[in-house]
Amino acid sequence: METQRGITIHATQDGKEHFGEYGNSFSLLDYLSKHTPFTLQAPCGGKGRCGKCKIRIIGGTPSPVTDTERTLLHPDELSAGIRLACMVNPETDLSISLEGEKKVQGNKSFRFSHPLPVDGSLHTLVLELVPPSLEDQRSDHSRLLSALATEGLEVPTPLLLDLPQVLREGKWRVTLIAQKNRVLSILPSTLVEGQSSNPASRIFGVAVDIGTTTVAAYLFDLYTGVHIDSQSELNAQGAFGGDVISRIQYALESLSNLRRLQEKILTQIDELIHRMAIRTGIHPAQICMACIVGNPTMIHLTLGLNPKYIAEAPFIPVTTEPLFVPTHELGLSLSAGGIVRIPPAVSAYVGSDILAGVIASGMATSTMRSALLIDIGTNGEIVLGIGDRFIACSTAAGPAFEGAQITCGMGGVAGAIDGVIRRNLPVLAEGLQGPDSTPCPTHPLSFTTILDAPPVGFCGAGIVDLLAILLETGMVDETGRMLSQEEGKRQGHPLAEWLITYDDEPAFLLVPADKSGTGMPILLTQQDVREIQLAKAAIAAGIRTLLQKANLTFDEIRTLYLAGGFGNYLNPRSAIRIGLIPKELEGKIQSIGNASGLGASLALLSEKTFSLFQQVRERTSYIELSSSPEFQELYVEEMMFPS
Amino acid sequence: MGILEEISEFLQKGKANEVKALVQKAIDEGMDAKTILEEGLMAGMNVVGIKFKNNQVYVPEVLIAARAMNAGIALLRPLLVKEGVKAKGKVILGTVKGDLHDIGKNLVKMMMEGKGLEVIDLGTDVPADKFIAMAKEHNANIIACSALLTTTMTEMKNVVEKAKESGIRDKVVIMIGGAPVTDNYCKSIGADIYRPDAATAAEAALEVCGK
Repeated sequence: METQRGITIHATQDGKEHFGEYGNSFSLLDYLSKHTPFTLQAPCGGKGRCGKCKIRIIGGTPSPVTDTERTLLHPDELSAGIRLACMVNPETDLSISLEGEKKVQGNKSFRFSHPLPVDGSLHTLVLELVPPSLEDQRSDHSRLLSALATEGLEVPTPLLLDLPQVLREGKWRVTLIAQKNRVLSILPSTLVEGQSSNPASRIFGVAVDIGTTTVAAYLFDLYTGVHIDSQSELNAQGAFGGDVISRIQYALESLSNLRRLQEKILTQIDELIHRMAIRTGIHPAQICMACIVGNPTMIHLTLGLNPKYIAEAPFIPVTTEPLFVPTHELGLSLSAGGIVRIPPAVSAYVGSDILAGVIASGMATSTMRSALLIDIGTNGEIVLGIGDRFIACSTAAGPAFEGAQITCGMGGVAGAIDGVIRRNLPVLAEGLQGPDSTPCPTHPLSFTTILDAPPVGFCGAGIVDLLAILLETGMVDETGRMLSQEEGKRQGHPLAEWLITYDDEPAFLLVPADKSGTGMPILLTQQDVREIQLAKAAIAAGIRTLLQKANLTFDEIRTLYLAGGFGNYLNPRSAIRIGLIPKELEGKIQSIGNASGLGASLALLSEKTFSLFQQVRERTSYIELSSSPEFQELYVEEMMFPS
Repeated sequence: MGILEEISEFLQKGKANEVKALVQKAIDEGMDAKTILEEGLMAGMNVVGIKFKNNQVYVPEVLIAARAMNAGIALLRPLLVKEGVKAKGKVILGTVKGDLHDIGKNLVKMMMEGKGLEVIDLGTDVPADKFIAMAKEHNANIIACSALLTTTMTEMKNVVEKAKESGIRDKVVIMIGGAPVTDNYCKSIGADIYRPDAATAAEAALEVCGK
């Protein structure tokens, strides 16, 4: 082959291998994200700012280390062959490995133990067709239509693709699944009957929650509302930026980039569905409905719509309307006649995922007293419910709580530190507190990691826990300043032993290099604290702004619902300690897990719930915080930590 | 401690009332406004700027310190005019079109004012044409553009282009800043100066105006 002269890249991730031609890619990140199925998270979108797209060079010669990498990577990392994929070009054939952090923990909130309500809008019909013969040469389609003559059902064209096979496999006995007058799927009766005595109980649907960081899919039995399986992964668009703005930026560079983002997410959804189908022994044609929620940017990218005007004032999306999209238009390999329901959104930054949370939390229907819903993800969306009205806002909290922009930050995947507590040391050994002593061998803090894997970094909940302790013990003061190593020594607190200097800045060491899963120390730096100050101030100021606008006091708030994966792991006490959640709400916090996923599931199973999205949207007013002077003032105020 | 050091100290702590009282006292004692401004207020703000650059203090402290500085400057302004003290340079500042982020830009403003520069703040969501028109009108030394979004920072290029078109490009220095902006980006769009934080931006601006 002629291409033999080109540079070949050999990449591995999670034991999977990929060989390919480097071609004219402009960086390894560009190559990996376009030409391999591997997921590499690059929160800044490959601009050499975040230092997260780390890869390890196994063999071959890469381009020389850049100044950017010298700034963003630790010398130990560089000497271990770690590079930033966005900064590297191969000079010869290259063998590299990618850290495997694609899988999100299969967490408990992804299970719904009780069947969810169904509204029975689906009906099934078993048809017995006359087999064709030389005397009866009607087409398969005509044969089906004449059998359907009295039913008034519409058969979408894509169903013809598999029709010949379905009819023959079912020996001319087929089961039709229809909603209203539209046939969603045609199955060989033998298939459905073979699986269950009641064919009607073998029709499935999928609810999907597309987060900027994580994508979760839930498989349901559409007749019983029983939850069958779930799957989740980090969003495959992660290599194109960690936040919606950098994804939009990438999409705007060219039409093929927009297509690529769409293809990435659709392929990922399809894979998740496939995996669940295989695990549970279901034929994809049995899955005849999907319901997809997400923030408006994610929905735009999934539908291939231009997100340009979402990203600039006055922030106008192409659509916020409810949509019904035939599955074949999206290339999802469900039943060819299937329908994807897309619930409506409120505005450019408050999407169907947030409405789903409002519905899942019960706020949409129980309107007795006021409640707040906060979904902390890459953006922090907040909804205040007062009677049957809602006020919503979105704060640009940034992806700090998702671990981006934090030196040792990462998403909620295996090995992420998700909880930090103070160890109960019976007596502090005196000799260890002297100014010249080396750090005591037992760290005064202990931690937990997701899936109990060796620690590799912090997820949001772990950062909040650690920071709360550092504030409580005076290692960080209320202005956010961390004690320097010298100041710490003078202070004499047992925790102060673990203050170090990292990149010329104070930092707190939680896991020394020899105890971490990466061989690198896990620490929280002064700059990290600054990032958290910005993020938590945005959320706290958002909450206060909404209450001000509604003229409400904290006393009047009955419950604060914390949604999202981060909310699920977050320790409410720590969240209050760092001022992420105002102290006045203490004791009212309720974590409701992946509320967006639950809301999407409810809308999948019931048309009534789907239309509830529309009703809630009509009762919701959106407040643009970026132009609100009240917010600006509160934002600055909230940057301080509670003393 | 002399009164000027005291002004500086209280300014760093953000004590607006104390700063105001001390500035008034200094005026009453017959000290000239220029000295009070430069060796009291600006000296204090300079310390805040250095600490901010080194991550020792953060946005809220800078804003509070700036509030104190402004309280002092308000008293000095009529005297400075009388003494014929001119600003060291003029800066047209704003966040570019499509972007509503305010705080970073405000920090730059405070730091620049702390260096004795006159800052004409156009606010947020400022079209390129407006930067140019105002720069012409005020005969400004510098146009400083802020953007916090990768999608809006492309607007900075328009500012550079418009400056060329209108023939003022060689008379005005274009500075850019904001979270997504880098030095490489600055070079690629033909702007003049990028600085990663408000304090160093103010230093660079002062240097430009001093030339």
